[in-house]
Amino acid sequence: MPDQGGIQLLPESRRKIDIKTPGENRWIYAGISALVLVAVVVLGLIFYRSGLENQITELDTSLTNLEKQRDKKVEANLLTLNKQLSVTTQLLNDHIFWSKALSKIQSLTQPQVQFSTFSAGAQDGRFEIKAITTNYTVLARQIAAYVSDDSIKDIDLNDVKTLTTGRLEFIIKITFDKGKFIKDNEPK
Amino acid sequence: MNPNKNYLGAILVSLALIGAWGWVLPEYNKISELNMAINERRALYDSRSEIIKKIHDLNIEYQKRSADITRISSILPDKKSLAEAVSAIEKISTQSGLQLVGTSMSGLPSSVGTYNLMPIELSLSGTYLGLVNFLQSAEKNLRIIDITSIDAASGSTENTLLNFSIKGNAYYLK
Repeated sequence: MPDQGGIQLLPESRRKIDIKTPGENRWIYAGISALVLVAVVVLGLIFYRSGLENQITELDTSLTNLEKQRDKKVEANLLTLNKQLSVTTQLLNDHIFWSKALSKIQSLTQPQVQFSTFSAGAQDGRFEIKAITTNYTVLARQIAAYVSDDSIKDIDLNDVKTLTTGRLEFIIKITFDKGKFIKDNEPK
Repeated sequence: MNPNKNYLGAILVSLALIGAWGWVLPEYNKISELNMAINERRALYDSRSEIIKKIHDLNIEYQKRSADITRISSILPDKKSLAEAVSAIEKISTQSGLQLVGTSMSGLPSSVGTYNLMPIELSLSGTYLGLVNFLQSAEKNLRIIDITSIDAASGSTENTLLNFSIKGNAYYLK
């Protein structure tokens, strides 16, 4: 505005006047606080994680040391013993006692019967006798004696022949109960 | 109120949230995994320590009862132990008064469960009483021998001795 000799009321240049209002920076403070909080939490977690990783390393070292303490030979011996004990019990339970079976056959056999051959098998539970006797009465008595024993399940009579001497030759096939005939059932 | 300050504050809060999402959460997850790993390792360490202690105690007991264990090893050896088996058979037959005519232990071993069978075939000559003695001794032998079949036949006419063919099994661990 040109000066026309009067009084100039308005300044030629204007100055910006900043007016501070309370709470205008709160979002900045809140943001900085949040950032600081996150940074502190992250640092705390990193520190805690580092401690945990150290613990894992220590535990791994302890496990390795423990592994070194193992004596493989002792372990193998103990495993073998364990196997031996379990299998031995089973084998002893299934142990076959032919002496008991022969003793039974011997006690059941008539004095007039003479064995020529015999054959016995544990797996098929059979006892086959080829024998000679005096007559059919003794043979019948012999069969009855074998049948009377509860360990003998079945008897077959085969090939009865009269020899030139007048005596009888015969074959008896005995089927026996394995649990009673060849096992030692007496209480220990 | 300067709107730029509000924007700046909002940006800072957003950065904090992004930081929490990007660093705190993964770190927290890692820590959870590490805690789990530590618990697993501790459990493993405890159980292994206990096992090693038990093995140690068992070993002490094993050493104390070494005589009994030797006997058990004779009952069921962990190897075929053919030489010992031949020696035992020879001894039993001699003591029973039977003559050992032939022996075969060359059959293929068959396997049953946790043990192997060693087939034994014997040809013997002697009396019936000798056979009974042989069977009794074999039944009482420390190494378990199960006779599976017996065949007896009279020998030659001028000879009163009987010929026996005996088949059986000895056992050893797998």
